[in-house]
Amino acid sequence: MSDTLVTLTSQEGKPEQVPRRIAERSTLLKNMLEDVGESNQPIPLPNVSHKILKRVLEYCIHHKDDPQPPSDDDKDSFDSSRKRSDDIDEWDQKFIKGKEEEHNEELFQIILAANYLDIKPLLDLGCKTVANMIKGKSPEQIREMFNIENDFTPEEEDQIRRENEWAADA
Amino acid sequence: MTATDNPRYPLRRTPARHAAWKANGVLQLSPLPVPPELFFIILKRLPYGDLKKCARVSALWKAAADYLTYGKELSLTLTKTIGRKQYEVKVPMYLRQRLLLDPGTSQYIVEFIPAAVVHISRSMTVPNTLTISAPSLPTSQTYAISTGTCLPYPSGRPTIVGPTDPDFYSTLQPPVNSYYGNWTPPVYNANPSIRLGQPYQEGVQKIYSSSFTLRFGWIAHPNLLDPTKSKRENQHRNSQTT
Repeated sequence: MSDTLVTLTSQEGKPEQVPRRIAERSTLLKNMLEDVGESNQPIPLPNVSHKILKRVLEYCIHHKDDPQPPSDDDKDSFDSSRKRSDDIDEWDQKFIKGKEEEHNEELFQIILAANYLDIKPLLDLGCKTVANMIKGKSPEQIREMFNIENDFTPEEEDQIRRENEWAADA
Repeated sequence: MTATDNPRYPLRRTPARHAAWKANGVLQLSPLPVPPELFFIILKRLPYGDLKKCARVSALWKAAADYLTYGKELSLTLTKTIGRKQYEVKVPMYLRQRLLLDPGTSQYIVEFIPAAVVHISRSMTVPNTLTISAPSLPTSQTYAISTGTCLPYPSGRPTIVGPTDPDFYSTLQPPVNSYYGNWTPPVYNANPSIRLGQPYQEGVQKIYSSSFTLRFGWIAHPNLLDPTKSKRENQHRNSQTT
């Protein structure tokens, strides 16, 4: 049964056929396929563009033999959710890096798709990558990198700078 | 908790900020192009120094970074006296955050809820009081405390006692089998604690409960709405202390 093909339809309506066991790397799709049973109906994924769907499937194909991650029942627990971000393997690093010029936009789209499709290892990879991008940067660099507006009033900014002065050169 | 009455999270309503928030949806409020919950997952991976620097990026980044850095310091110590011996158990805080909507101003507010859940096995004997001390809780904040559901007490109801706050008893609102109270840790007390048991009464008492829980939560502003919940669910939430 796991060798049957499943058709996924992207946001643009473009179909993409994948073996069921690849699709089942996504918990969302796995549950849907179990609920629907045997069916040739394409599964619409209105939140995922075709380009990102292909990237996500590339990841799933590479990791097809990985063990399924344990269920994250205690994800609200503070200690268990504070994880490392420096343990990304080489293939994953190259994969998530993508094309330099589209890196940020594509990275966030992959994170959103992984969240929507419930692919925990891919979501984890995306979040680690963003965390690594933030590490060691100044507030100004972070704003520039993610196109964030500084919405502090001058008084607030001054107060916060004083509160966090010790971390300025950390 | 509103943005203006919590000095630690200065999400004040400036005209530009208000207009931007009003124009955007909940998801676009996120300080990164990801939903708020994913933003927190990302920030949780940062070392302490980087988190503190993130507090200078924008108002929402500050709220998130403060939440995470304060959260790091939060824990509860449960002291249990059995016979003459005292036992101490460290209880980690469970930390949650949510976005709430103030319908009066259309302003979104980040609410931070440190919460601890303490499980006590059935028919555990609690010699008069079970003391829960939380030395690292910020003292400027009022907390909602609830015991969750308890089975009937053989000699009266269990209750939560703020030992140094005589007004505490008057704020208790006990619905059926649940006990709620508001509590502000006194600033002068370096180790604020809460006792479970009957006030002003000595002697051994028992709590009969298979899943007794104690929750700390920051009190939500009664008019705030959780945009992900229905009107009825919001009414229910606001009718409870936390």
